[in-house]
Amino acid sequence: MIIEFGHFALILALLVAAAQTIIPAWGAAKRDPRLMAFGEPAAVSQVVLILIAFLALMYAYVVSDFSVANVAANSHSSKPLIYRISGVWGNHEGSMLLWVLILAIFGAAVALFGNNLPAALRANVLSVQSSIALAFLLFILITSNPFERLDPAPLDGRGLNPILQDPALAFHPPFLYMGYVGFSLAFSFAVAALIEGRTDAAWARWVRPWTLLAWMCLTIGIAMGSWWAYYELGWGGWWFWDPVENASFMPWLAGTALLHSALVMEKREALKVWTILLAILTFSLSLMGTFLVRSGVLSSVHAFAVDPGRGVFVLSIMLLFTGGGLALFAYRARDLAQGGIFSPISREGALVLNNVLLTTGCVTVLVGTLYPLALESLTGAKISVGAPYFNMTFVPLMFPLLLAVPLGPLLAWKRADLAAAMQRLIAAGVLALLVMVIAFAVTERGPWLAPFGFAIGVWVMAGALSETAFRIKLGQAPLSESWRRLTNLPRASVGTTLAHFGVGLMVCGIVGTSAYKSEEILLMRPGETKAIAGYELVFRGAAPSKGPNYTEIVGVFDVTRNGNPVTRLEPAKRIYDAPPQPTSEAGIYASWGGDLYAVLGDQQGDGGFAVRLYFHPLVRFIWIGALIMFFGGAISLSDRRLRVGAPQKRSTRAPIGVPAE
Amino acid sequence: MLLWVCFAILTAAVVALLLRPLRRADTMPVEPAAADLAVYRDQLRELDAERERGLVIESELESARAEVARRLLKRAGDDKVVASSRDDTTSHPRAQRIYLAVVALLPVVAIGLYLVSGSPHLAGHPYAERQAAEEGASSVVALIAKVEERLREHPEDGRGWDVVAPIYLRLGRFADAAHAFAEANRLEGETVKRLLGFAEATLMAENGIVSEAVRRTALRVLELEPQRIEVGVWLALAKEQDGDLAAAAAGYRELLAKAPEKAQWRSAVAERLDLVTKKLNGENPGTAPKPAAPEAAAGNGGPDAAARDAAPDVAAMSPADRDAFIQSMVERLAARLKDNGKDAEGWIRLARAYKVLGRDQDAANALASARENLADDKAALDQIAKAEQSLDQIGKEQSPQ
Amino acid sequence: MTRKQRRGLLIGLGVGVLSIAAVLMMFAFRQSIVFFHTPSDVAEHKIAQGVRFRLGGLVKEGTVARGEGTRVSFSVTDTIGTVPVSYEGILPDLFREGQGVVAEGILGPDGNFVADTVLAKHDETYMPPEVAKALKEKGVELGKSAEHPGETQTQ
Repeated sequence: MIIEFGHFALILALLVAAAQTIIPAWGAAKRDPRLMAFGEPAAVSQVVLILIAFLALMYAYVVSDFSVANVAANSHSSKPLIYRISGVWGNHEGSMLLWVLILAIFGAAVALFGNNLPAALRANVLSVQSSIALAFLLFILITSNPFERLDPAPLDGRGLNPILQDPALAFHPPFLYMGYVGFSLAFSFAVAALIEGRTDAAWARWVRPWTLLAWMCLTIGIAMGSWWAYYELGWGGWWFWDPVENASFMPWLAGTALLHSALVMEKREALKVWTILLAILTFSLSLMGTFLVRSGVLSSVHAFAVDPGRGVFVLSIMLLFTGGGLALFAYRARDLAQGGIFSPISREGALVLNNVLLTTGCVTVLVGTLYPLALESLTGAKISVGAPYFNMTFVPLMFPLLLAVPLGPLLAWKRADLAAAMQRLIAAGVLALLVMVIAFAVTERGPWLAPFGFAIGVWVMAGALSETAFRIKLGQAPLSESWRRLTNLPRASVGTTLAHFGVGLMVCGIVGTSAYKSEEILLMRPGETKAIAGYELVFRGAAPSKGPNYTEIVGVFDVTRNGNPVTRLEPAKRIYDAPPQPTSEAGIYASWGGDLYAVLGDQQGDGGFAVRLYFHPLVRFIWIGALIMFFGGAISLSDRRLRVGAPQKRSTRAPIGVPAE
Repeated sequence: MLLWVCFAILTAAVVALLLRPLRRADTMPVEPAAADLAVYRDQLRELDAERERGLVIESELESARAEVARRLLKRAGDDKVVASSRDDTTSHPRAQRIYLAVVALLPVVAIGLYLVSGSPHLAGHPYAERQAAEEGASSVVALIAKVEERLREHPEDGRGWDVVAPIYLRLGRFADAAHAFAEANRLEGETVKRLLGFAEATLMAENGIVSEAVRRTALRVLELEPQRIEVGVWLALAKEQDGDLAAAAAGYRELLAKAPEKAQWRSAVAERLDLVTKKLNGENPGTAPKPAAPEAAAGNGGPDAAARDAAPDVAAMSPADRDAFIQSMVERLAARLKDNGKDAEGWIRLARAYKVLGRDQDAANALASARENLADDKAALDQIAKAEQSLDQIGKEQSPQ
Repeated sequence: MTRKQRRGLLIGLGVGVLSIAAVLMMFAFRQSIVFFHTPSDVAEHKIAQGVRFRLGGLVKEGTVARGEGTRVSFSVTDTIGTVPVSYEGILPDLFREGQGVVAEGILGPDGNFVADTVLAKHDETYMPPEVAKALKEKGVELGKSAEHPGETQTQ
């Protein structure tokens, strides 16, 4: 009964979304306050209804109700509870339901917290937001209804793809979707501004925190996905420039640009047109990400079973919103008022450079991802574009960006003194050069570019810190004064420093692991020893063992360094019970210097095992960097300044008893 | 009934929520100018706060202040006009009409859509509840345990096998059921009932693949009782799975011709025939390969039960699917034999499957453990020896069907 | 600086960076594109020796043989042509006879394809779209699940 209740709630949500799409926007056009006010209860009831549907599906998963087709196809009674829960979004139908749930949550946030927004803007935003929800609810109910039933119910489910049964991946989709969907709010605000032909002062102040939230979630979501791929797939790579990865990376790049341009728009009311265009493009890229992953048009190592029929539907949604948004932009962009003037050497100028480089980088990724598709439909030739392409195009574009990152926050708005800003970065520059020289001296192999890479990473990190040091007058004022200033620093600026520091750390990690990775693939018989990156690994043999829902062969490696025992690695080859599918579990020893990584391969005839050993220097920095970026965003988000004060209502009648809603 | 009450409550709650703006007569929307001014005031306040903290360079701060103040003044000047444009007298009745239309349409359309896509008659089937229900039959379980123990001591007790076989079948322990039926047939003599039971259990245990044993059993049934024409479904299914679609179609047609008008399995056969004909004509049968025939008669309604859902269309599977499918079968069998090794036929089947999959070593191992497990069972040992000889030939066959 | 000049500068910056990117992209495409071929393409001698490409098809049943160390050889077929492949390394978890596979490498002078990458998938019912499409074009019967793998889940 609970399942049917959820199904009914989802249908109601569809209808409410339809009404919410039409009525508030109509009201805004007619300037009718009552019709505009419809958006508010509609958005709230929409989120409640979708939440009911989502919880009903989750209930079906938790109690393993195999009369629900979706549960039967993706769950199994023997699965641990946490994976029964994460199984809800571990499949197409459930993940789309999660998608609209998050969409509705963002819409409801506008309804609940947006009482200081101009009424017409809020009504239009709610209508646009709801139109997206409407499209996806239709998609769910027509092509991928999670509440389809089976009668009679099968005895047990088919199980979740075992490599998805993993803690990092359990929470990867919700974060990724929070990111994707969070940009929908920026899109809705952009379209609402275009409908009205003007941007309110509250526009950027509202868009920025929500974009920041979306960006944070996307950052951590992508990092989790990359971390998962690193330890679960057993190839030791952390990024493959694979279409599915690019699909999430493109909105991230555009979102990062949007975050920075919205800052200019808020502080200086400049770059309005560009920011609005960027908001439309960012969400379009999110939709494209969904399309690429859900349709399976691209060959990807991460692709899961997909259905082309659904792909066409998602493609139509994507074209509708992208095309609609861009058409409206082309039609209305002229009407937007011009903003403030700034000199090229200024904070604004630096942020423009940031935007140009990030969007161009995004374009190179886009072209590399879609080119195979375009070529095939035009000429029929099938090609694949691999990592070398992205290393040759995207990476060089990031060099000037990273060089400029520490400068930006040191430049003043409007007109800045570049020489003075450079002067403040002397210490950071010296440190970076020092690191480069040391890297050249210490490493005897690896590409000659790598030390430069380290230098850039250090430059970004030290640059971020010197900006704070300058602000708190470190070394120029007494320590107590500096401390007072540090505690008084606005949180947004602390957030910026942290996020930029995280970028630098990540660059160091990427350079370290890409340039100095050691890899060995060999056959090892029990008792044999192999040395890698200063460690000696002794293969002790492999023995079968049994887990809750799998059987496995566990290989045992004793690791020593200079004769001292370090750790024991136990990589395994698992075969899950349902569905019966083999997976590799890597044995990883993590240290600050890098990860020792072992994968057990197939058994060869004579008792030996194929074994893959890696040493990934500094690889942890990549994810730690992402985590620091996430926390930087979180601290910035907690800044009081990102909240908009309530306007004084101009009461034409007695405002008694009117709650501020 | 409760379900519909819940639907009504939910709908009513949503409608009540949606109507709220209508009841608040004095909705005062925020005008753009007021909102803008609030933002500018906020910005000025922030700048002051930063100055107090001494974090900003004075000159920068001044220019920022001046700019915000300029915007504030400009905005404060050009507003007022927009505000009065809203017209409350026309708004109210129009809004009322639209709200009422929404409220009236919402329940009707929602119920309509739900009736199209929902399944209100289906109750939930939580796994735990089902298990509890099964445990409710614990007396049966205990009984089985007793019979099983007796049979372990006296494996030649045909009556025991005969009693336990249909129970296994009903509990879904198909492999056990097949074994029990086979033993009963061997010890108590073949009857149509036991043969049908054996065939059905085997079919279920092998996920709908009509194995040679099933085919032979079906032929035997026809020999004993020629009017049992429904077993012909299995024969036709076997042909279909061998890829001989024409013969299968002929078989189905013949069955339809002979079948009594009221036979419940008629529709299943008709659907099957339809599918095979389509495939013969080179059409892709699409999503229809699983004929959803009405609930089959319990007990010995064998053939149509088999045609209904025990027939994943192995011939139409992709190699990948087929492989996975066979793999899963084999693994299940292997696991079962580990628990209960006294099953000569099971071991032989396992060995055969390994052979087909090209895992010769595993096949040999299976036979070895079979001998170990059944060392005291002369008949079984003979059976194993015979099977071993035939396995060499099986190895040459390409696929298990 | 006037508004017009400023805009000119911005556009100039944008166009400049974009054209640098375009040059980089053209250069990179020339170097790093890898074509996809089927075994029958190879049989028709369409491919020059020493050119990197991706070979896709089904792993022919009974051809997987392990050699010295981690060396593995198998044949990739689209039922019309068959190409022997040798690979040094660990095969992906879901590599199996009869399954779809994509290998990247170079065709040797002896007609042997030397792969340095064999692509894995996460999902058992997934077939790389190029393989599915290429095989279909060659008239190979794949069965429903290869083209619409998602549907098999509800079967």
